[in-house]
Amino acid sequence: MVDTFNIVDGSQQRQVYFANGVNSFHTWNKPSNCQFVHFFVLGGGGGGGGGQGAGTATARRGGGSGGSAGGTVSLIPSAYLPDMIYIQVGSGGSNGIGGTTNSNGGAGTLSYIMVSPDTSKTAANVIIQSGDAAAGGGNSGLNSGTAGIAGTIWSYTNNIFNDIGLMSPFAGQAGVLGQTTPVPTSISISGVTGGGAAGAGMNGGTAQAGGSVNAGGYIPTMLGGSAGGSATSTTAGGNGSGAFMTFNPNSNGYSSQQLIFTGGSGGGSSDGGVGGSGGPGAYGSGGGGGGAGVTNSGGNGGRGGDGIVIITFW
Amino acid sequence: MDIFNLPNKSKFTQIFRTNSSGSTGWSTWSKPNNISFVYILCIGSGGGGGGARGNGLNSAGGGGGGGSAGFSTGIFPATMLPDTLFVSVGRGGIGGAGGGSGVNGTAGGSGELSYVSIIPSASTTSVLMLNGNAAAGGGGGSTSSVGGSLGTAGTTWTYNTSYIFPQLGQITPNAGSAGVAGAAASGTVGGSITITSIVTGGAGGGGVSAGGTTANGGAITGVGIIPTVVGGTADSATVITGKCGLGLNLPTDGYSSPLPLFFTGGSGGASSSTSARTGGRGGDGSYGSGGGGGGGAYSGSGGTGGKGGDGIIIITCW
Repeated sequence: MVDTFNIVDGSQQRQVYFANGVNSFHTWNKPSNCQFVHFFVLGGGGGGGGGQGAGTATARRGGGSGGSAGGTVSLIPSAYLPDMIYIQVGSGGSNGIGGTTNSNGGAGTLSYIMVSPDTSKTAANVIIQSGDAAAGGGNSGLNSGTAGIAGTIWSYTNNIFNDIGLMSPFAGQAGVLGQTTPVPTSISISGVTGGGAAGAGMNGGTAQAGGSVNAGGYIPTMLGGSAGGSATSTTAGGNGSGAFMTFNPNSNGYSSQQLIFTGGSGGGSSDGGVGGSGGPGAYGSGGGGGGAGVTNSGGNGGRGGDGIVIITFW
Repeated sequence: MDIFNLPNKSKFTQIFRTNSSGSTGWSTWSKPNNISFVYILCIGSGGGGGGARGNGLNSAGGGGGGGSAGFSTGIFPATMLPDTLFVSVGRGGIGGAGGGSGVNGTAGGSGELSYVSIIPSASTTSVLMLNGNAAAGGGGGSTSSVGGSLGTAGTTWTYNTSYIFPQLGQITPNAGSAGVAGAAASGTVGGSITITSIVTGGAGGGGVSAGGTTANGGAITGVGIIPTVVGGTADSATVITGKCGLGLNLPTDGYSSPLPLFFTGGSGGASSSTSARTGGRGGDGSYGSGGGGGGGAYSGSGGTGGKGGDGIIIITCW
């Protein structure tokens, strides 16, 4: 970097990076007269599993919901950093498909801040990463509706450059098991990212609402999708909602609220119709599970939220 | 008198180098105007590498590598700190002397701790930042049968016991890493260092067998973008010292750098065989890192251990 005039470039004090795939890297160039750099590094959340489909009045499971990603917050003096760093932002896990497929939700992927564009993610080249293990996807109702695992906390093992700054890693939140009974399929938020809620199952002929994402304070609860029709009705289960965030991070705007991302709520079940889809997760959060439906008609899970990296500097 | 109350940006990053002479020595840091936070990186000094035995036409082990220091980072609101802080930066442990004919090598010296205090005192009631509880150890000297022992790692600062002022900030303490033992007296290569931290121990010196077979000194093995610091080479025609450790991206080296902040220990000296040549000297450690062990000598004097890297304290504020 040639810094001829040594003038502060105040045009960008915050830069936001979005998912770019496992072999691609964004770059960040250290601006002139920058003293400190703050990183918020969040991985991708797990996708929700598809709901189970089967004959009317039979027990069917909703899809399990995806877990949320771990993340790391860090403060590093800019003088300790190289002129250019490389950023890879993890993607959210794919949503499980209901219908005839009944597939599991996909796992999310980790996010990295690196000293070189190393696609192997060699530990010695990593300055910061979002966690040790990525958030897991929820299983489909046919596969027991197992909850997606939480992204695990970054333990710095084998890393070197984590030593140059203050690191505060945090774990994600597991999703919720998809069940045949109405409860418990909801999830309560416990961090700045959250797992998804499970899709509703069927334990007989009564359709049920999907699991909710329960919040507190001024953060709204996201209700699960509504219950669908009975055995003689083809009314579909309602879709879950999702991707709630207090504001959408961007490089230029000013935010008046604290940042929080939540998972998607679960889809409602239907005895004679199609199960509702799970809601998608917001950044780093899990997708909701799909609701159970009639034969070959389970609802789709919600997609896991992509990761995000926010770099603030001054 | 602060007439205009303007920030002095030249004071936003200040580096303090060793000022200790066996105990503590105190420099001062003055809080600039209009700052909000203070970030401190406190690194102690590394242990010196061990010297190697010189032997009368017989085998000799390599000297052990010195350990690296513990280090701590801390961030404090500027308003919670006094206008002046007192800084003592440890001096690196001396390299152990190589033995003459039939004499064992001498152990390297231990490193020293580095302090940031509110008064010029190292007492627990005065210290704001400390790099670790115990200083890095020096590598051991070698004999005619075994290599020198490894220098111990500097230990983590337990800031939440007995200390008062660390409670004003957020502290992250880290342990150093141990050096590597010197090679056995059998013509084997000195032990190498695997990098696990931003400061490393020193590598071991090479040994020489009873038949005069020589070997290279141990290396600081590179990983990722960090290059390898090769050990001294066993060569009958040239001087065979280890290499000094790397010091990357010190802020005073210029604002611009392609690499992050990083320091390594010295590599080990190679062993020598004929012509009464002295064993290879161990490389000196960079900041906070251990010195390399000296190489054993078949017929000359044993190699001297490398000096441990001095400590360093960097105070950044805004």
